[in-house]
Amino acid sequence: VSGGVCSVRKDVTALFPDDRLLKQMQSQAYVGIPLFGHENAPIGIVAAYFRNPLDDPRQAESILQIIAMRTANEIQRRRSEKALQESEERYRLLIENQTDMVVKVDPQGRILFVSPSYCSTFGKAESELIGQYFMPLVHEDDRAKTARAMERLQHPPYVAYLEQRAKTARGWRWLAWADTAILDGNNDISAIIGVGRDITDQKRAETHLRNNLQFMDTLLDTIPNPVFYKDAAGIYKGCNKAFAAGILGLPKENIIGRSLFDLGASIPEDLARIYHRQDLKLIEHPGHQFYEAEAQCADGTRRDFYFYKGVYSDSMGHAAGIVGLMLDITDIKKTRTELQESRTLFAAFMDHLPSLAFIKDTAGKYLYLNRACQDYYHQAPSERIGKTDFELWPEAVARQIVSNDRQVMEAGEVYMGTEIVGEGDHRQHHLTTKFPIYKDGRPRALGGIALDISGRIRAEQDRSKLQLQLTQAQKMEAIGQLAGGIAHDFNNILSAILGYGELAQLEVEEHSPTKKYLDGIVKAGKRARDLVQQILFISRQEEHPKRPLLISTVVKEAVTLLRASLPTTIDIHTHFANNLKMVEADATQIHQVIMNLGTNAGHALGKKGGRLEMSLENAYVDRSNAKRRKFLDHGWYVSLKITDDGIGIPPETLERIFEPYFTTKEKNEGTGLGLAVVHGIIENHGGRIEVQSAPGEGTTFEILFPVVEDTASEKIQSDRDLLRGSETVLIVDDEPAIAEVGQKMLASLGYRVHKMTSSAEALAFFRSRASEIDLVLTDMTMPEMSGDQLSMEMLKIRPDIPIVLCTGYSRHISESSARALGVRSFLRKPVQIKQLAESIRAALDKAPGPV
Amino acid sequence: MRRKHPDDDLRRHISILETELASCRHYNETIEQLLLESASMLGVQFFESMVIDLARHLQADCTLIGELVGNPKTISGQSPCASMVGSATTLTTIFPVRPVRRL
Repeated sequence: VSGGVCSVRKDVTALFPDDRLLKQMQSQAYVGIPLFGHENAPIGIVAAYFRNPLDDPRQAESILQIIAMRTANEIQRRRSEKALQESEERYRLLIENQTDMVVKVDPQGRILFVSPSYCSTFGKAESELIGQYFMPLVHEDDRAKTARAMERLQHPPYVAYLEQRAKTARGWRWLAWADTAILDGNNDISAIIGVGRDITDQKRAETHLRNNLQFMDTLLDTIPNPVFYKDAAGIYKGCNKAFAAGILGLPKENIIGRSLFDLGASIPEDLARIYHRQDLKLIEHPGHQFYEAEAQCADGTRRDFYFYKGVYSDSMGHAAGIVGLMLDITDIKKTRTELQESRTLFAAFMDHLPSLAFIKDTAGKYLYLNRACQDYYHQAPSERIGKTDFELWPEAVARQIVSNDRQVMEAGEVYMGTEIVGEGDHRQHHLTTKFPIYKDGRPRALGGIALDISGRIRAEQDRSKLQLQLTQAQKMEAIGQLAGGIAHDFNNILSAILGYGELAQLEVEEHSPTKKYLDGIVKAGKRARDLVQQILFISRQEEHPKRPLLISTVVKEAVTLLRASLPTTIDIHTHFANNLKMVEADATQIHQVIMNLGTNAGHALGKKGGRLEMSLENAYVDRSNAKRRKFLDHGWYVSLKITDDGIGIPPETLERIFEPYFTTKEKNEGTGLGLAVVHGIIENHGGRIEVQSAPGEGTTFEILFPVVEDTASEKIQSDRDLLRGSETVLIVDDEPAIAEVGQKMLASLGYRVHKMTSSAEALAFFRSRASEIDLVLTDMTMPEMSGDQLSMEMLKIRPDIPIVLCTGYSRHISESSARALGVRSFLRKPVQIKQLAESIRAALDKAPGPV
Repeated sequence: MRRKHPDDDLRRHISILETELASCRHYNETIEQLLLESASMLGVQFFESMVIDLARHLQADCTLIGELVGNPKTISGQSPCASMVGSATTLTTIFPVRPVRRL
């Protein structure tokens, strides 16, 4: 085909052995001419086959070439015809199957052609429509504009768009028509073709959309914040009033369709660049964007705004633009700054506040602690903030605190009071002020300021104790004065009784009945003397220096007194070990200790009675034991145990029994000082008191007194023989009986005695015969001149004169003060002959000067 | 030997001319007949008539009008083919088009 004319005169089959047609035709010769179409494209072939060789194929070639043109034309025509047919078919299918209506009318509006969809839309057969005017189908209100559209078709560009209501099979429907005029050769309108579509749903959707847009506009305008939206190219597509009027100061229509850089002075260029940069970022990375930037408002001021932007997408999901909302944070920032300053001030103030300051929420959780609070509790804020008091304190403490908190929050009142926090030795008294913190008229938090007044409380307690002790001391002083006065008189009386009794004993026969009577008198007198002595022990206020002491003598004395004061249902047993070591002690104070402990034991035994034991023994405390017993040195001690089998002491009481003013007794039955005084005395003696007790199992107090190894200064007078002498003694006592008894006692001991009952006379006598007098024995309490004054005067006359001062009781002078005056010896009434003999002898035998 | 007559060449020449003229006339008549016979015909009728008339006028044993169709191009057998007996028949054979050496 592509090779042009092909002409073979003979043996063509041999040339093309594979050509089945040649073979089938048994051809010898062949002439073929290609057929060419438009643009010389080969489109076919016309050929002739000959069974016999051809002599001259030229004529056949010539004829075929002539025919080829005609044949090619025919093939072309056929192709065109076929194409046309196919086109018409497609057009027909298009018309028949498309939903859009097609109608062809003449210039007067008579229908020439309708598509099936037109028929179905109007519910009429084609035959009913052809030749009819279309206008009656149009809604009466839309006919005028339909007529105007027909009129427009008379003029170039000969097209018109029209929306009209028409009476269809489904009732009145909105139809949209695109009309085109068909012109004839004279440019006159031969027909009008209209393509129409039912747009009722679209119109409804548009209405709905329009309503929605209206709603959106209203909604946007209702938003007080500036809102805008723009397309992906940065062109504003809409905004609300707040943006248009408040920010840009322009009508919306002047904004829409413009970019950031097209709005002139409304958006200064520096700000426009910022916004644009952010827009580009957002479009490149679609999502949401928040940033803070300035904006120039319509009044020209610049304010701080927070921008919230997001990308909106089209129906294909592609980024279509940006919607943005602006939040004016100028006031917020100002408030934030002010708040920060306020917080700084608050923090500075609170952190320099010495009191503990805190804030809790309504649930009682700590919200804030000042630095003093943190330092006080040695806690970082994180360790306390967010926790309640129940998480920080023992339950009882927390309950008290929370109860106060609740009262504050519920009653809305300020609380001022003392709260006790901690437990045991760590209890602290806090003077606390709590107050509700209101917000919106309701208490939203609780503030508190606390001051640790534990020191003050302790000081007050100490002051109260001291006050009580002072009162007690004053009371005791008054009692002492009273007792002293009585004792003085008693002692004078007892001195006479005992003196005369003892003198009588010396003069009567040993086995006479009178001797027994006299022994009874002396014995009773001694008991009376002991009782007076005990009274004086209790009330005595003078200084009692410690000196080596056999403590058993004091215990015996105290037991005697206890026996007299305790019920007979109480059996008192004593056990004193042999060879007890000496202790350095104040006998009076030790006596008080034993009396206090014994009296307590008596209370523990009660009316039912029981057993009270007192024992003394030497005890060695080794190093390990001393270490276990704190503050105790190792070494020898004298152990005094006082045990009763009474009701015992519960553990909680046992812990506090040595506290001052702690008492389990009823009011006015005990001062609460007894054991405290005991404890103080033992501590003062370098000893230790320990107690073991349990309810129902009785109580044992053990007291350890440190021993003194040097006992040389304490000589126990075992010599029962009376010491005698022959020196001259001046005895002075305003009580004639006492003076006489003394005279007789001294005389019986071998002394020469001058008796004087007036201190003034005695002084005069001494002044006149000072060299003859070897010793002066004088009473203390005398009307003209007291014993100490007399002594001082005599010592002025003769400084070496030995003086023995004797007194029943005097609060004006003590043994130590008497010795300080130069008095050699000090005797207490009533004086027994043995004591008198020893004192006189000792005073005479010792070297001059204070002893 | 017979001397060549001057008229012989002329006669022969005339004879040749007459023959050529007759041939030419026949050619023209054939063309004219072919064109006339098919002038009013279209489509299948044209092709059927043409192949028959061509076969007759060319005294060919078979004539063919083929159309290039398809891709790759083939000679469509849908075009009619005339046999010597003067009846048109439809070829069902498809002729693949391939380069043909020009003779």
